[in-house]
Amino acid sequence: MNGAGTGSPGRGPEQPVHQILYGWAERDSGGNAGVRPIAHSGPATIDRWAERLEHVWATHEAAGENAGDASLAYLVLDGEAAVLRKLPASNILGRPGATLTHVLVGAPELFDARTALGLAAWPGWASALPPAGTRLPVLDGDELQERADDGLARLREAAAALPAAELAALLARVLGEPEADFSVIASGAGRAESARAEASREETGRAEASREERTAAPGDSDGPAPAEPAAGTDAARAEEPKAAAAARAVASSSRALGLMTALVDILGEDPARPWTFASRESTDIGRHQPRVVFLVGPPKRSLYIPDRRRLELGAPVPAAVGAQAELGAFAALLAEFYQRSGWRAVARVRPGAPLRSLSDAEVWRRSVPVRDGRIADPGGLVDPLLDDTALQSLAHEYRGRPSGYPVELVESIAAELRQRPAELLERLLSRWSRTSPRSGRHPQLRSVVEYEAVRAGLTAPLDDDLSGHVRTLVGRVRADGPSPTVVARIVLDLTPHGGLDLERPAHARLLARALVIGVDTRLLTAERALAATSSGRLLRFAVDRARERDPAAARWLLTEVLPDRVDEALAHGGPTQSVHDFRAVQEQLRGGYLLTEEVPRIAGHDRTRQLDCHRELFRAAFGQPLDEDAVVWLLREAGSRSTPAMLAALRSLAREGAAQDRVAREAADRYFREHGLLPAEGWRRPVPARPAGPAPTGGASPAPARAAQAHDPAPAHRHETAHPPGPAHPSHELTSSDSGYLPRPVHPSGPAGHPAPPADPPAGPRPDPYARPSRAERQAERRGAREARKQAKLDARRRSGPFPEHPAGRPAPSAPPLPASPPEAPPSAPPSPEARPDHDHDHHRHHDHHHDHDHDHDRHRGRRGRERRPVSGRARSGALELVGFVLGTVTLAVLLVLLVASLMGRL
Amino acid sequence: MTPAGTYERLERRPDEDDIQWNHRRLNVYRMCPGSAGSSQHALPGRYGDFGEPLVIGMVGESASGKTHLLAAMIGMFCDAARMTRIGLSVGALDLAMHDQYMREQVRPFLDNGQGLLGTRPAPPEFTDAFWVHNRRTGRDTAIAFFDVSGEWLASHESETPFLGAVNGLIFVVDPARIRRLGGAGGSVTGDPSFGIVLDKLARIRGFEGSAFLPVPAVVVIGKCDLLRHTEDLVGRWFPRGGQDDQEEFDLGTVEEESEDAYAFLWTVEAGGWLAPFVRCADSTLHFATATGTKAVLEGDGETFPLELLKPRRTLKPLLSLLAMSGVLERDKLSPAGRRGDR
Repeated sequence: MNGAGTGSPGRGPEQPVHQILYGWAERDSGGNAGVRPIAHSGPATIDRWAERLEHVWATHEAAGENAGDASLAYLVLDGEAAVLRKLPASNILGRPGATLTHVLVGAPELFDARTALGLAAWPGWASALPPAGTRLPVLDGDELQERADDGLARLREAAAALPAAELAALLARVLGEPEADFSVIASGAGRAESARAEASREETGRAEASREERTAAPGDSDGPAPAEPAAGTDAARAEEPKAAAAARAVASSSRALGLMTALVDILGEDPARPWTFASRESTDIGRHQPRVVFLVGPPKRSLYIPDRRRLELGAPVPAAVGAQAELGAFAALLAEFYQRSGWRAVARVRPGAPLRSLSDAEVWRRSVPVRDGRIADPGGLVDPLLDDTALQSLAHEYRGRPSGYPVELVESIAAELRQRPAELLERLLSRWSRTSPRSGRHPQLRSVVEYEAVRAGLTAPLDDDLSGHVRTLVGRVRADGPSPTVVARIVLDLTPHGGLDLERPAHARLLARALVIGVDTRLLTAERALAATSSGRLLRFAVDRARERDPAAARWLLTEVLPDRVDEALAHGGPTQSVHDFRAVQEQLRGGYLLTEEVPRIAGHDRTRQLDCHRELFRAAFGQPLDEDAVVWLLREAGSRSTPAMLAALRSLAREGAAQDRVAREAADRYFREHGLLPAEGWRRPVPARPAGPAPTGGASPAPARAAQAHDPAPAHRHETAHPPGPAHPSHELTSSDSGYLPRPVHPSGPAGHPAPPADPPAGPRPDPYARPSRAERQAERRGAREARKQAKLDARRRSGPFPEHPAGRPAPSAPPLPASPPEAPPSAPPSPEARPDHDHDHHRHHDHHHDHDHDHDRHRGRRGRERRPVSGRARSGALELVGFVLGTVTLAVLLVLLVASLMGRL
Repeated sequence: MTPAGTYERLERRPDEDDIQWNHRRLNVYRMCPGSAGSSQHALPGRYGDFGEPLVIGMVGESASGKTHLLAAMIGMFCDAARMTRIGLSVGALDLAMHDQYMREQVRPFLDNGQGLLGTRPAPPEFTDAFWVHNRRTGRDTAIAFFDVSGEWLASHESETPFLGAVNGLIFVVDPARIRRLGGAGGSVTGDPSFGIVLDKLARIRGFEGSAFLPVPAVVVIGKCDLLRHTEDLVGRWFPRGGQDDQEEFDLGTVEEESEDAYAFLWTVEAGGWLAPFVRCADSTLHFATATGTKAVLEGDGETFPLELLKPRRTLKPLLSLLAMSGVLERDKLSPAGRRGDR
């Protein structure tokens, strides 16, 4: 294709490209001599571009100084792009200093920087003035683009051979200030090399130049274009020297064009700020200068203040420190990677968003995988996931395999994806959505994308998420709706041997994101995924989930995870004893009014669910059944915030007798109070002296209590009377063979110290309508199911690995433990005992002065206690008693007087 | 200005003596007030130390000979021995700029006979600048020269901010562009850039509607080596043997030379080139040749045979302009010293 060959007489090209040719005019229509637009394909184009190119179109080199060394420039102004090829020329009298500038004007979508660079070798560039009156044709942009692809490939070859240090220096500067414009001054070595190359081809150059002149002389070509060859054999003869000249031009300026190609390839295009450039200039002063100007040498001294950065390639660079040093090292890595692996490889590790600021560069630097001091080459494994052509090639390669893609290939892709930034995985998941046709055609690939995207979404830290890519990825994963089983499996893969410890931020983040995305909680429960988390932390986490509007997750923790731990702790102690800490749960309940506000959030309006939640909370705090002390403590902690569901739960767990009576009395009082038959707020029935606050000592770990019970025939009584309540144990779960020490078997509804035979249903005591009837059975069932699931999971992993679609087996992926993180301070953790001297002091007082409990408690508890136990209420109740006493006395006296009077009357 | 071409603020150090401080100030600049954006520029540090500067612009279409004429003119102007003869001391105002101009333009041209490239269309800026001391009057003046490309000058749209400061113009006439002399390619309407510059100047400086522009101007008919053998009016100012050196410093002949130049242009039907003479209040006309000979194409460039390279009468237009501007005594222009042997 050449400058005139594609002008179509009828319908114009779909991608029109207009031409303007600047050259020497001894006398133009305005009477002026000088370099002017002397030919064009449309006056409108000239009208727009004449002013825009005022500072740009000229070159300032003697025609003979670097014959054939054309400057290529690319500009985008006001929504139009132009590619200029500037050739030093002489005026009509032979005086050098003029310019022959050929301009192609098209849409920016057609002429991006790479296309412009590729056009360096276009043979259609004008090399001589056309005949007067020539009108240039409108060119076909599609054909130009095809030619540009060839030229770009050659430039990439040149870029691969550039001195890596020069490329790295340029990259480092641009990465350091992506928003700046740059002038790149050729290094001394580069200038010398250019001069040598020029000297070596001087003779041939002259000969070719003369041939070019003859070829392009007016009259030789009858076409309208400046560089149009004649038809037939003439065309072939004409094409040859022009192609040679074009190739020579590329060779001579390959350094600048190669650098520019590498820069665009590495840093990527930005439609909002195109990589405009000029490959060979003597100045960078003036308006409309491109983003990157390559200067042939140090620019002439100018009084204009340059508003761009200048750097001389090869010049000594002062030692960089800090972030600049890191960017310099990163630039060196990029340059080496580009020259080693090519532009596609760089594109694979480059963020999708354009590089516009230093922070973008920093984010990119941190996201690039580096192994052994070099950027890891993805090797094109990800290409099929990003490009349908590559996908088709891959599918074609493995077409006919009954088992689909080889496991090794899929594993390699997975390993590669694991090294990639969150942004790429988000893009991939969007591309490979559940409903995408390609996902249906390639389920293995969809599976690996889903798995790795979920994995990245679960684990990517937010510390580096300056651009919000991780958040976007998590949102995308959630929207994609991955299989909860897959999510659970990934969580379990990432879970260390001992289970997740939610005190560690990474573990808490993992579970929180899994819950947000949607995880099979049953599998997590069965696999004891939270075994390393203390019950107190678990409760805080559940509260946090409830506050973050994730009631299902909180419900799961309260009604599934926590009960299992309590059951195990009550059943046979062992390792779980260290996990479940009754006292910690008590502390949590005490700090939050027994979670009376959170439970409705967690359970919604379902009273049964609310009851379940309260029951599990109380069990987690005291075990089962609750004795009177525990009931009193709980009622006091709930205060006026007690709810019917809470009272029902309390009653269902309370030991028959005084404990249940307490609950019933509280319920009755509450009922009368709500119906105005008792003083409303603050009124409380006087608390008997005996039951003391259980939390300080009663919440002690049950193990010592049980250990003591094992050697004490009547520990329960002492426990009930001397200590606050501890956990009790369902009798039917415990036998003498369960463990070396036997806690006192307690029937849930029977009196303490009277074990019921396991085979016989409890006779006499009325059944608890709220108690879950078969907790032990459920626990056993869960334990069995857990073992079965564990075995099934191991079998499944052995069979298929994390990608169920794999037809062949795949070893289970390694489950590296989550990165160690310093334990974070629990946001809602209660103050430590050391931090609460008053509180401890308060509890010591409870032991010593039970009868003063209420007064001391009110005095020391502070505002909350005062609110619940107002002094006015106590005074009011005392006054009522006094009045009653006085009235009774008076009545009795009156009756006595009347009786005496009556007797005396009879007498 | 740093070696990289950027500017940094310069402040005197506490322990710096005058010599050190002045040495560091050799190449200092001042920001030009009012300039901003891509046209933000600096001025030589001592530019404002000599009173009202004389800013001289070269005007003429492309390839009319402005660049060669200015190089030859400044080459002579910097010759201390020559300038002493007329009572002027001259020094560079911006040492670096002057050194660059001499190194890249004046010396290659005058010493080596190398042809100069056409001026690149680019935002106008100082080509060179000097301070001038008149020994007789004791007056100091800063003089700055602008050499702007013909394409730039001939465009109505181009930015020519220097016209706002210019107070001396040198119009260069290329006789080869006169139809009577240059043939069919020549013009009868004159150099378009003359009219454009004068119109812009009148508009920018608020002189529209006035009979004359109060800006001194000289019109230099260049390339007289092409004419002096064929045109009597020209030839009489270029006597054989180069005996015009002494006369070049005699401003008393300016009036006579102007009459001859006017007559010459009139007779070759080049009235269009007389616009500066008509529109400027003070103007003189001159004959000059910057090279003394035609260029020879060698390789892809121009050269001038050294034995024939001889700029003649290039300084006199500048001296005339200096006299009209008051840098030299204006009475030097009076014809009292006019010689009658021409």
